[in-house]
Amino acid sequence: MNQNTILSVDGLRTHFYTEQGVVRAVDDISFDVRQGEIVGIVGESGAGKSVATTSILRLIEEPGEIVAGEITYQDTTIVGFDERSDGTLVPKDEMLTNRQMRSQVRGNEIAIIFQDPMESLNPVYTVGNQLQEFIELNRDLSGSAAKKEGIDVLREVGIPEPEARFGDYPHEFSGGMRQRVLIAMALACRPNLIIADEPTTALDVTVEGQILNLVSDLQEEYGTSFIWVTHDMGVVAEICDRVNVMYLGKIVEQGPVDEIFYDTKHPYTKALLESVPRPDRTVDELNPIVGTMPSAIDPPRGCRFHTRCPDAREACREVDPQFVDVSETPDTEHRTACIKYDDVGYWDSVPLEHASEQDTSYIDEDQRPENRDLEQTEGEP
Amino acid sequence: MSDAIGGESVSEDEPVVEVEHMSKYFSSETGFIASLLGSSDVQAVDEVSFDIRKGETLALVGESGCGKSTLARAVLQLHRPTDGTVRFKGQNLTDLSDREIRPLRRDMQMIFQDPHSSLNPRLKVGQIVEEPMKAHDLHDPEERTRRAQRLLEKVGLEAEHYYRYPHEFSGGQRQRINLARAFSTDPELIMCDEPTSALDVSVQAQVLNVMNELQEEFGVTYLFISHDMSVVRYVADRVAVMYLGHIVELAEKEELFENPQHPYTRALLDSIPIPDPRVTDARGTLEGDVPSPIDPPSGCRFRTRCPKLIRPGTDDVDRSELDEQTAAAALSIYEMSDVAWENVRAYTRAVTRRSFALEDADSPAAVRNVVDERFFTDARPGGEVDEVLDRSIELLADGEWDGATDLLRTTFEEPSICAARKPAYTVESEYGGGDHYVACHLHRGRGE
Ligand code: SF4
Ligand code: SF4
Repeated sequence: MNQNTILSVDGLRTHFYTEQGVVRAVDDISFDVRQGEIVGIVGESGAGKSVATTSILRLIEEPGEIVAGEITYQDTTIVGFDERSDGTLVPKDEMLTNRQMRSQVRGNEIAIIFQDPMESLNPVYTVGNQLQEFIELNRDLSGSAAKKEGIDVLREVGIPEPEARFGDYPHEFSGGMRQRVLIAMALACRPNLIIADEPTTALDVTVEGQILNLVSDLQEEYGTSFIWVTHDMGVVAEICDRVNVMYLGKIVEQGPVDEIFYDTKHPYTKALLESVPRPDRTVDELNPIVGTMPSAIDPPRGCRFHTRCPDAREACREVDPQFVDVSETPDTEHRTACIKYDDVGYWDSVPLEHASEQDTSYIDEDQRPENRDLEQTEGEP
Repeated sequence: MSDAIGGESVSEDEPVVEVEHMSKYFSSETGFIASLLGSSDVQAVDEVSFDIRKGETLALVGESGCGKSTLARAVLQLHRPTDGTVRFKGQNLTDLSDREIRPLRRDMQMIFQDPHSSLNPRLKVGQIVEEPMKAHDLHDPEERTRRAQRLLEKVGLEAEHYYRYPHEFSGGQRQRINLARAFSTDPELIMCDEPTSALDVSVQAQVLNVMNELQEEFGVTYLFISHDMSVVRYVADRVAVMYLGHIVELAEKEELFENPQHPYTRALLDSIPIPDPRVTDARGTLEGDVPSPIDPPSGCRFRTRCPKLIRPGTDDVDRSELDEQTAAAALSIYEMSDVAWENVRAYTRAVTRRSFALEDADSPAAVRNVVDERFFTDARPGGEVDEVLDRSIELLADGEWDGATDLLRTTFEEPSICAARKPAYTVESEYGGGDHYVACHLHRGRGE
C-alpha cells in the first residue's frame, strides 16, 4: 500500500439476494485512493460501479449485503470480517457501528454526490435551509455564521445571486444548479474524500465543463480526493489520475490514466475505447463490442468477458483471470485481469469463434458436455 | 428491398425538405404568473430557415431547451409551426390539413430516444414492425410479413424474432426493432430524436452502424437530433447548431468541427471531454445559464454569455436602432483597449450574477478597491466609461446590486450590435465546398 493511501478496498463483494437469484453486483474488487488524487471507476451499465461506491459508505440496502472484503479509511475499519473456525465470516470488532459511520465518516470525512440531485434534496425545505442545517450539524458554526458560510459555498460553486437564491426551493433551480448545490453541500463540511457518482451525466456538456473545472480548482485548493464514477471515457481522460475499469462486477484493469489509454491491456478496455465516437476527429467506422452485457445473476464462467471478447479462447471459459501486474515501470501499478498476460494456457488454446453478434453462435459447434452450462448464461433471445 | 419507392421521388441535390422563416411559439401558462409577466409566448423556435437534402444526414445539435426537438417536430408537422413554411418534396405542408398530411406520413417516419416506452409491450415484434404498413394500407398480409422479417434481418436481428415480445430484447435490440418499423414503409425521411442516448457506448456503436448501413442501402434522409457532438461527428453530413430557438451555425460536418465560427459552437466543442489524456487543452467554459425563452435576449440570443460580445460604439449601429432607454444610456464614445473592454464585460457579468461578495467594503473607496483588484488589474478604461464604472461602484456601496446591474447592462450590453440586430451571415468554407452559415456579427462586413 502506498503511504499516501487514505482509502483501501480489498476483496469487496456486495451481493443482492433477489427472487431471481443472487446478483453478484460487486464480486471481489480491490482498489485504493491516495491523498489528493481523482480515482475513476468506469464501465457500462451493470458493471457494478455504483454498488461499489455505495458499499464504501455502507449505504447498501436490502436485499443487498456486503458479504466479504475489507474497506479501510485511514485507520478506521469501515468493513472487515473475521473468519470463524467453521469458515463463516463475522464482522470484526473494530468495524465502525452504523452510528459511528454517520457521525464520524459520512459527510465530514467522506461525502457523496449522486447523479440525481433531487433524490438528495428535500423538496419541502429551501436550499439555504438544508445547507445551513447541514453546516450547523457538521461544523462548529451556528445561526448567522452557518448561513454566511452557506452563501459563500454557493458562490464558490458558481450559483448566481447566491444571497437571493439561498431562500429558493430545490425545484426552482435548474438541473445544473441543483448539482452545484449538492457539490456545495459536500464541500461545506470540507471532507477529505468526495465520492461523485455520475454527477455530470444528466447535465448539458457546457454545464459539465463548468463542474469539471470547479472540481479541478477544489482539488488544487483543498487537496480533496475524489472517486469519480462515470461511463464516459472523455471525463476519465480529462480529470482522473488513476482508473479502474469495471465489467460485470469485476475490475478488469487498473492503472494510471495515461497507461489505460496508451498502453491498454485488457480487451474490454480496448473495445470500450474503440466504440466511443470521437469529438476531436472524424472516424470512418466505429468498432462496437458484439452482444450485450450478460446478467450478473449467473455470470459467464471463467472470464466474464469471454462471451463478447474478440480475443477469447477456450481457456477463457475455464480460467478465472487473476490480476496480473503489467506495469512498464515498477511504480506504475498497472494491473489487468486477463489470462493473455498470465501463464495459464491461453496461448496454447483454440480461439473461440464469435461468428455473429449472437454471442451464443459458437456454442452449437461445441458439444463438449463441460461447456453446456454456458448456454444458461446467455440471457438474450 | 427491391420494391420501388412509392410516390414521386426526389433526385439528388434537390432538397427533400425546405424550411423558411419557420417559428414555433407555445403560449405560456395562463394564470397568476402569466398575468404578472404579461403572458408572453415561449419562443421555442424563432424564424429558422434551412434545407434537408436527399440522402443526407442533417444533425440538429444543441443543449437542453435549445429547441432542437421542437424544430424537428414542427418540420414533420407533429407540432404545427406558428409561422413560416415547410415544404416536403415541394409540397407546402403548412397549407395542408392534418387529414391531408396523413398519407404523406408514410414518407416521414421517426424513432425516439427511449427504446423501452416506444414499443407496445402487448404486441409481438412482427405486429410492431408491420403496423405502419397496415396504417398506410401497403402490401397484402403475406408481403407485410415477408418485408417485416427481411427488415429484422437487415437491422441485425433474426427473422424468428418476428414472433417474440419486446420485453425479451435489450435496449439496443429494441432500437433495432424501432428502425425496422421506421423503414417498413420505405420512407424518404426519418427523424431520429436522440436514438442512442439511452444506450451504453458499446451498444450505441452497434445501432449507429446499423443506421449507416440502412442509409447506404435505402438512400433514406435522416434528420438526426442529438445533444452529443461526438455522435454527431460520426453520423452527420451537415450540422446545424441551435441555441435558444435559433440556428446559430450550419455547415458541412468537417467544416463545422474543424473551422467553427460561432462563439457558442466553439464553447460547445471546447467543453466536450476528449477521450485522450494527452490532450491537455484548457477546458473552455461558458459562464452562466441559458436565459428563458420567454422574453429571450434581443439580437443575438447568445449575447448574455458570449465571451466575444462586441464593444458598443462600433460604426455599424445607428443610435436610431436602439430603444429609448438604451439610447439614453449609450455613451457617445466607447474608446478603450481590447483588454479594458474584456474587463468591463467581465465586471458587468459578475455584477449581474453577483459572483463576488462585498462584505466589509461599504465605502465607495473600499468597493472600488475590491473591484479594481478583481477586474481591472491590468487595464482600466478611461473617460466616460470610467465615470459609469464609478457610478456603478457607488450603487454597489449602497447595496444597490440591481441598480448597478441595470446601469452596466444598459450602458455596455444593450447598445452593442449584438443586442441591436439579429445576426445572419454566410462565410466561405475552408473544408469542402458547401455554404457555411453563421449567426454572429463578428462576421459582418464579410457579406450578408
Ligand atoms: S481472459 Fe480471455 S476472454 Fe477474458 S479478456 Fe482476456 S482474452 Fe478476453
Ligand atoms: S453576435 Fe455578438 S454576442 Fe452573438 S455570438 Fe457574435 S459576438 Fe457573440
